[in-house]
Parts: sequence; C-alpha cells; structure tokens
Amino acid sequence: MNNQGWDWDAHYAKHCVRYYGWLPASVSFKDQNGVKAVKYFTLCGVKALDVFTLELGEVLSRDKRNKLPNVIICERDLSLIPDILRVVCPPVPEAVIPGAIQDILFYDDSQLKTAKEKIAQLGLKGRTALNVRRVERLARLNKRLIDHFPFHIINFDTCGSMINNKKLFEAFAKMVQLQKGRINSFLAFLTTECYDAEPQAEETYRRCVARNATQHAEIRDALVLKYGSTYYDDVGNEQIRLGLGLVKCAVIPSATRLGWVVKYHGFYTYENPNLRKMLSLVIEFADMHGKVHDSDCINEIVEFIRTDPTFFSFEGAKSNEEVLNHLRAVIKYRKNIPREYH
Amino acid sequence: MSTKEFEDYFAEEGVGTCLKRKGGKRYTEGEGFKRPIIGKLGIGMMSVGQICHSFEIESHYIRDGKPSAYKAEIVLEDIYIPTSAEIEKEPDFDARHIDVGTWKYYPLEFDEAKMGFRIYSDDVRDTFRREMEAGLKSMGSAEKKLSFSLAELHKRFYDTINSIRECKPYLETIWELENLCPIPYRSDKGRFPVNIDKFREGAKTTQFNAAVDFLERRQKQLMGYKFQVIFDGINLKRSIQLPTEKEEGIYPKLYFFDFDEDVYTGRLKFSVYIFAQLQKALKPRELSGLQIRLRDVGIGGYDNTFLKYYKTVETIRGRWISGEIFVDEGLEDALNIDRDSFNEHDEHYKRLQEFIHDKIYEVFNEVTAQAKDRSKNKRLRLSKSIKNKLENITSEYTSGRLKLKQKRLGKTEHAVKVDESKSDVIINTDAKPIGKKRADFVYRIVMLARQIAKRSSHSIEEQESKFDEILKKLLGEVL
Repeated sequence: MNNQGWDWDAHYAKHCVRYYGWLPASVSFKDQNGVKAVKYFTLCGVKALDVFTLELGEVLSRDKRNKLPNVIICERDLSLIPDILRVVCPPVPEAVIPGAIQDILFYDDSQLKTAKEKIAQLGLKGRTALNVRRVERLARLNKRLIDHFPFHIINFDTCGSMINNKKLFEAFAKMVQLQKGRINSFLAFLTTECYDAEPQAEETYRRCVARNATQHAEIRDALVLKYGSTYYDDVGNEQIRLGLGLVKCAVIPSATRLGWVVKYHGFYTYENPNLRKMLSLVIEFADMHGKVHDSDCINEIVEFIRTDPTFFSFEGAKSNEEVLNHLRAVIKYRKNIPREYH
Repeated sequence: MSTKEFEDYFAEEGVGTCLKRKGGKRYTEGEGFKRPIIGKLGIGMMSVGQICHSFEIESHYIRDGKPSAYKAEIVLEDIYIPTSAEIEKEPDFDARHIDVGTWKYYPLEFDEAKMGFRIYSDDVRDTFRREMEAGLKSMGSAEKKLSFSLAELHKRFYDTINSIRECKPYLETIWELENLCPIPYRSDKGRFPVNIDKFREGAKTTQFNAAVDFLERRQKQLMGYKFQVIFDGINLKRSIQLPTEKEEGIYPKLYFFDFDEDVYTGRLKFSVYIFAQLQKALKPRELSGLQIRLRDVGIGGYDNTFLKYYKTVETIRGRWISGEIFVDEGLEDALNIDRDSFNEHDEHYKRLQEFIHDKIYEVFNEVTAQAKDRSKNKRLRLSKSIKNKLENITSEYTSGRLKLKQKRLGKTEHAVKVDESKSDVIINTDAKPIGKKRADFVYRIVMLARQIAKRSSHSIEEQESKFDEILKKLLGEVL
C-alpha cells in the first residue's frame, strides 16, 4: 500500500511469504471450493507481485483482452494509480479504488450531513467546500467498493500496523462483515507491522488471553504446554506474542460475532529491508449460517498456540534459490504480459 | 518544479506573472527530460480549473545534487472577477492581485521511482463528471469496458465512425486530449501515424522516406519527454494511423516539407508531413486538414480549411488529406491566450500560411491529377470488363455463331445492329438514343439482349422467354 522507498522486487523475505504461504493456500482454496474465477481484492501497490504470483500460479486468469477481470485494487496514493493500471491491467479503471481503504469502508451518511452543516455555517467555499466534495467522493467510492463484494481472496497487506492502528483492523473487520451473506467461505491474508506495539494494545491482548485461559481449559493447557505459563507476557517472542494477541483478541472475536469460523492456514513472520519484523496470517473464513459456539473456535486457537510461525529473515531469504527463482519468474512474467501501447 | 519554484509561482509572483522564460529559457531545466516550454505567463497549469475544483502536485527532483520531494494541494475558488464598470466604482480595487484559491505543501521522502512532476486531481467538477458518466452510460454497459481497452477504443475512433461527435463526450474528450497533448504516438514502429506497409512501392518517394525518417525522430523525441497524460486511468497515446481506410483499393501518398528561415525578428522553423489517401475520405472526418503543433502541442484541431487556403478546396479532395505541422522555433508570439488559435496577422503565421499554401497547391494538383488518372484507368478497366462479359454472354447464347463488336456507325444508326454477312453483332458507340449516359447504356443492353434472343430462338415464344433470360443475365453482370 505504501511505497516506502525500497525496491519491492528485491524484497526476498516477503516473497517467501507469497511463495510458501499465500500461493499454496490460494491454489488449495480454489481447488477445494471448485472456484473457476477467483475474485481477488488487494492493496498491491505498483509492483503488484502478489497479483502476478497468483496469476503465474493459475489462481487468477486473464481474459481474451489480457485483462484481469476479477482483480480489485485499492490504492490511497493517487499518483501511483496510473502505474498500477498499466502494470496490472484490470479491465476497467473502475477496478482500482482510489483512496484509503479505512476511509472508504467507514463512510456513513452522517459524515455528509456534518459536512453540509459546516457549509451552512461557513459558506460554500475553499476547504469547507473541498471537504464536502471529499465526503461525497467517499460516498461514491464506498458504493463502488461494496458493489464489488464478495471476494474469494482478500489480501489485506497494509504495511501499517493493525495492532496499533485500530481503525486499520476495523477496516478489515468491516470487509469480513461485508462478505457475510454474499459468500460461504473466503481466504484472507492479513499482513501487519509487528513491532513497537503500543502498551494499550498489549494490555488489551493481555486481558483477552487471561480471560480465555481462565474460561477454556484447552487453551490454558496449550499455553502452559508451550510457554510454561498462561500469562501473555511469558510468550517471549514479540512476534508470536503479538500474533497470538491479534488472532485471539481481534480476528477470532470479530469473525465469530458475524457467524464466521476461522481456520488458519499459515502464520508467517518476516523482515523488511529495514529489518523490522512483519507478520502475515493466512486465514480461511467459513460461514456457519448461525451462531458460532466457543467449541467451533477452540481447536483452531489451540492449534495456533501449538504452532510456531515460520520466520523469513531478509538475509536468509536472499540465499533461498527456490524463492529467488520463483521471484525472478514472477518479475519476468509481469514484464512480459501483453500491454497496450507502451 | 522545486519548492522554491513552487513558492515563487504560487506565493511570490502569482499565477499569470510567472517569468518562466527568464534568461531566455526554452527548455525545462532539471533532471534531463528537457521538454520545450510553451507559453509565457504561466497560466497553463490553472487550466485544470476548468474541470476540477482542486488539484494536487507531487514533485520528486534533484537540485544541485540534493534529492527532494514535496506534495502540494491547490484549492481553486470559484471567484467572481469584477467587471471594469464595477472596478471603476471601487477606487481602491487592486486588479493586479486577485486571490484565486489557497495552497499548501509539505515535504515528502524522495522516491527515485517517482522522479518528476505530477499534477493530478479527482476533485472534478460535478458538471464534468456528470457529462462523462452520461457519455459512458450512452455507450451501454458492454462498451463501457472500452474505456480501458485502448485497442478497442481506437478501433472505435478509426474503424466504425464517421465523426468523433458520434462518440459522446467521454470518448470525445479522450480523442481531443490525445491530439492536443505532446504525447508519443503508439509505439509500434512504422505503423503510427503512418502505416508504411500500406504504401505501394511507387509511392515510396524521396519525400515519403524523408517523412518517415522525420516521424521516427519525432517519436523518439516525444518519448524522451516522458510526458504522460492519464485520463480516468488511461495512459493516452496518439493512435492516428494513416491511411485510415483498410481497403486495398486506396492509394496513399506522403509528402514532406521543411522550413527554416529568419522571418521578421526571429527564426521560424517547422516541418510538415502531408498525407493523401486516394480516393476515400478519411475517417473520422475530424482528421482531415492540417494541425499545427507548436513545440509538439496541438493548437486547435485539424484545420480543414488548410489555414484558409485561398483557392476553393474541393470538399471531396480536402477530405482525403491530413497532416501535421511541427513548429519547433518561432510562431509563439502568434499564439492566442486560449492556446486554441493564432493571431492570423502575425508575421510568422503569415509566412507559415504562405508556405503551406504553396505546398498544398502542389499537393492538391498532384492529387487531382492522380485522381483523374486513376478514375480514367478505372473507367477503362471497367469498360474492358463489361466488354468481356457482353462478349461471353453473346457467344454463350448463340453457341459462338455471333461475335460482339463495338464500332462507331454514326448517330443515326441503331444502337445495336447485326451484320449477318460477318456474323457480327455490333454495338454502335455513336448512338445516343436517349441522350443520357446511363439510360443509353441500359438501352444498348436491352437491344443487345433482343438481338441475341432473336438469333438464338426458333419460335416467338422461345424468343420472348430467351429475351427475358438474356436481359436478366446481361443486366446482372454489368450493372
């Protein structure tokens, strides 16, 4: 989503996640659910390596005009959109939603009402008028995005922190809500910064884990077996601790509230080029068509506690020939797709 | 544009007072895109206000070896400019300083991949948005997808319509932007704007080669500017492809002229290619005429009066001709502030007009002569083909007993006669029984059918039925 000044084509550790995590999970989801045309939502940025990884892996397919008709992209940096359109080639400009995903998803009519009230006070001019137009635009984008639902795969790869930025996670939760009633199951990739968690976020996770450990013996036993303790802070590895907190305290509650059960297909941590740690979860959501009971989730939580995440260091990924070869193939593929009028 | 230039433009000097030509600058400075400068006052950027309430600028640049970047937001006010009468009533009114909006900028982290200067907006005026949406809706949902398939979009421009006006505002806007902006042609070499494969060997003259070389060089130059115009996500390219007619029967010609002289107080330098497509009108019709491109920027559309050519241009032949005049030096003083037209009394404009009229005279003469030749040859070929068909039918129905001849027997003789002694059936080309070319032709055919039927039948009944059959066959073959 953000261009952080580094070369995404040389972000080998992240490609490990695509290659070992996102791609096999997507192939398997497509095959098991008999999906012919996978509809994919992504915050891919200009290089769009996720899109081309899935296309090369035959999860996504181009139409006769060499367009990807089922890929919807959200990008908040307007200046990048022409490049994204050129690189990815969705069939229509409308396939790229220009704006910050959280702003678009959380638009509601009261915003417009408030903006119009301001105009009544201050007059229709300058920045007041601009703000009204922005809200009106959000309304249009909100409708446009909602019209694209549901998706078989949601790649919520924000580069920001879903742990510290509650609104960012809520945007994901809103997408999960919008999927409800429109699709029976879908796959989600959640990627977030996984460092420098704010004390408030950790406190929430701490309380949530303590409550779970008290209420559910299976969870308590799993925590004790793995970490020798039920205390959140006794999970020494920061990424595992935050991942556990995010899954248990944010992902699962928001899913179960809506009648989804989650099945996790992968827990990955990796290093950015600046050696900061990132976390990526691969989760399947299945609609229970009714109330979700604790028992529907406990096994998944226990399984999650038992499993260590797969870690990809930036340096280590550089020497993983299998991944490097795949990355090269994806870049080559991206370069060679037929595009119109260069 | 550096932050200093930005501040100079928006805060210090103000829009319309920008001295962008300070020090005789003719090209942009900076990181090497070296684009020619057009205009003088610095008001062009504000033209975006016609369709947007606000716009943003993002600039990533290197000055004195130091990389920098910033993003700016400019909000335009729909201000009311007072009339001169109103200004007279306000003795303190400062007409030199009118606030047209607000701006702010903030620094960004430099990103080499985004090096350059971008202006963009999605805060478009409602009127414009509605107009575009209506334009899209009028095309129907299936065709809405054309908006991103350039190949199909351009196919629509050049293959399926007679006039761009049939396309409705959305596509019309794309067409106009493509033809006015200093953007490259589609890059398939040797195909745009002139498809060299469509020229016969005889048409590949010295001028043709000069034009092709020039266009190749110009395309490289345009690509070197790295100037892009993106409309609704579509990265525009000029897609003109001449000839516009896909039929094999047309005969394309290409002319090329160069001009480089000192005119009045300054140098005037331009190159022009003129394309003629014999003998089919160009599609869409907005392509016929000549377009002046000042430093590669199209000024107005294609001028189908050929810069007010003093001789009457035959409408039909004017529609076969299209060309572009690339003015690289001079003429700027003649550019009107709307950037859509020229002061036609300017010295450079007059000289350009004079030169073009001389050349267009040559082109029209040659095209006219060639068209006449081609028409004559076509007529001869047609005539020969008709003669062959008549001969074959005559021979077929008379089992080879009668031979068809064409002779001049005088105006008073019958249109079709039979010379029994020589077994000839003769069409008298002098006979004009009706006095109208087409009617006389049909009359001869009827008479010929009558004679053939008469000489190939044994009874009146048979003759009547054969006449009917032969007449149908003759008319079916030759009309």
